[in-house]
Amino acid sequence: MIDFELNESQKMILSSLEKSLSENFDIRRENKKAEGFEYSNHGWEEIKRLGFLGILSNEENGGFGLEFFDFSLTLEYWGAKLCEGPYIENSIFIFILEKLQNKETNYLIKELSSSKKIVTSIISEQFINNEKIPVIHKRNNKYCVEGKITNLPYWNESTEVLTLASLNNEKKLLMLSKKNIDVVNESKTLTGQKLHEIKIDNLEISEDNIFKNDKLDLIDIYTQLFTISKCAESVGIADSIHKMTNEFIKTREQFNKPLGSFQAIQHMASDIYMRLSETRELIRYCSKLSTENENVKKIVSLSKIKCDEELTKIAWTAHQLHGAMGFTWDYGLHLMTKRILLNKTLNGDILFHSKKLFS
Amino acid sequence: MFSSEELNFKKELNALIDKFLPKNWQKYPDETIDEHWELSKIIKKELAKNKWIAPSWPIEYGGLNQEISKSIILSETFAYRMSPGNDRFGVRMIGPTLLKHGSKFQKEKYLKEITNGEIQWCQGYSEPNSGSDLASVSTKGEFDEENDTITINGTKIWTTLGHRADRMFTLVRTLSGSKRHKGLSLVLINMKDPGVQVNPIKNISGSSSFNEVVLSNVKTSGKNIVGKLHEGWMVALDLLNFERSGIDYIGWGERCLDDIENYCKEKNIISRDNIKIKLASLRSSLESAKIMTYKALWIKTKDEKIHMEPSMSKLLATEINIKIHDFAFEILNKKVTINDNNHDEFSKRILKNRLFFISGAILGGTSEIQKNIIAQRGLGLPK
Repeated sequence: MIDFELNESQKMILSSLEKSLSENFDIRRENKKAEGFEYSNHGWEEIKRLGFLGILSNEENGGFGLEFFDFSLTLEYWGAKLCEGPYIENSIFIFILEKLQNKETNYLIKELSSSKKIVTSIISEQFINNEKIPVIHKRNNKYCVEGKITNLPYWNESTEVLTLASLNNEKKLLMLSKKNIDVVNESKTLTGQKLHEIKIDNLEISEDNIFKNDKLDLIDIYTQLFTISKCAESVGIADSIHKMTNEFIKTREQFNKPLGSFQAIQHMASDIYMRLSETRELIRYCSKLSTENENVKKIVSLSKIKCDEELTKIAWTAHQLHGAMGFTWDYGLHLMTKRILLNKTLNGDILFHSKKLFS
Repeated sequence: MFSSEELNFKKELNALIDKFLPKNWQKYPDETIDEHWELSKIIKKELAKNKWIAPSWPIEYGGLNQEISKSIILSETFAYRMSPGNDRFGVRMIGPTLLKHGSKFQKEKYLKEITNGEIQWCQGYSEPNSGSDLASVSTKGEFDEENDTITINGTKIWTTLGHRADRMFTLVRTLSGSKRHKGLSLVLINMKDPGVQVNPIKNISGSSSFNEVVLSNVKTSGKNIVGKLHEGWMVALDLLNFERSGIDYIGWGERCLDDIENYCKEKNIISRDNIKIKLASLRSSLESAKIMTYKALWIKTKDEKIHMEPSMSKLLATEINIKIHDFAFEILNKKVTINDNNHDEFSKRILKNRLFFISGAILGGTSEIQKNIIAQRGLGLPK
């Protein structure tokens, strides 16, 4: 059954989210922050205040009880306003906890949904890049963990860290409280987002902090959902670029005519919109698939490839259409381009996903 | 995307095609070839028995009143199997146009003919001096109110299957002295009527799929004007949008990609990273173009507005189909270009199709015209 219509509830949620994220969004302010290498987490407080952290948790656990597709739609708006914060990390962890259908983890879902606890993670990179991960030792019926995690985002916004950890040479999902972890290094992405390197030094943990399931590959599910989520975020950014560019070429005049009246310019603008539309539809289709669907891994890889190929093209074409204006720091288009470039480097490159498709 | 019932329909369709299509069929459906034309007639008759020619049409016109999904599956499956028997002009173009704009008489007569699988339609839009600029058509239609007849004089060109067709839908200037989009009417004519002369034109791939059609004092009844007299432009545009939303290019592209991927596996060249990347990239673009085409077809069932999705889907589908064939050409290399023992059926098909599919980016409005439409009608950029 083919249906591309968003239902009334989806439209209502998106409209309220867009309103809230737009109210405090000012590209010039974001730009100023970026110029001074000042950290921005626009949208994060709004997401928490509106209760969106519980978008994927069941109503009995204090959430909205919505589908992953609904969440993915919100990410388009999240990306469009260049928001920052562990919204994706937190939501996917809740999705996985709900999948476990374990009464004992319901308390955690409630805490995560109500932002009493907030997780950040870099699991997808740890997994895809086969990074060295923390090790869990079992000694005298106690579990201890030690190791390092690099390039961890959203340290300031979170209370917990979700990581891959090795237990008897098997990869597990492990949640750690930030309290007993030391930050050993700090760096920044090209968009000014802070990244932390943390060291876990023989930290004693409870078995409850290790998440596993005999039937589900939790790490694989997390990675796939994270990949498609970042794709949806990038689509939102590209949508902003498209709108900004279309407005510019409609109003900017050269040779006594709007730029957008020249056929060469119109064809470039059409290309932007067409590339954006096809990428968005593929990502939305992928977000609708159940994690149990036999094709989901394939479609996630195809989606990431599509994003990597098209969205940077959209950004560079937009710069070309803006002329020197888009080349400046002041205008702000560069922030969106940089965010797309940053997302492109996450979750595996085209070769990684091509190999996955033919493995 | 599809329900299990819809996927079951696909299985049944494949079983029907299996009954008639020779094993290891490697040919692109070309109804100018007698073997293909005969197969097409047989398969259409068989489809008609099940009311499968246009499953989404109303029951009274020979359809099953079902979701658009089944029509999409039908066209996609036929394209993938490269089977003759998929009626593009009747089912995809004039049929939906008549459902929207046609009179009771036209629906009763022509839609039923189409769903019976008996009649082949062709399109009379382009003229020797009127291609991308469709509004400049000069073929005249003189309407005689007293006798309720219209007399047509002019020449149409690039008329695919004109030599096989029983009927033609054609755009003519009925208001003398009118210019551009005004004073045009969409008229249905019988290709067997006196005054219709069809002259085949050989194309780049060696077949004569399209024709020049000379219309000299061709008379048809006023009942065959679709919509209002002199107000055919919007009707013609609707028809173009139906034409542009075809899934065929996706089906042809997917078949070629599957075949060339299998070839790369057989020859073990798939182990090369550059081959993996290329195949994955093509597959990714094919999937997104497919979804865009589904959306273009779906959106037409939702409202009366003219959207830009048909233009986008046409561009994306024809573009990816060409890219896939280019890649196949590159992989097969001299097997395609040199007619020796290596020039097998697969290589012949790739050669013929790559040459033929350049037409996809030209017919139904060139890719550049589609970009103009997207920019001006969709994005609101000034003319």
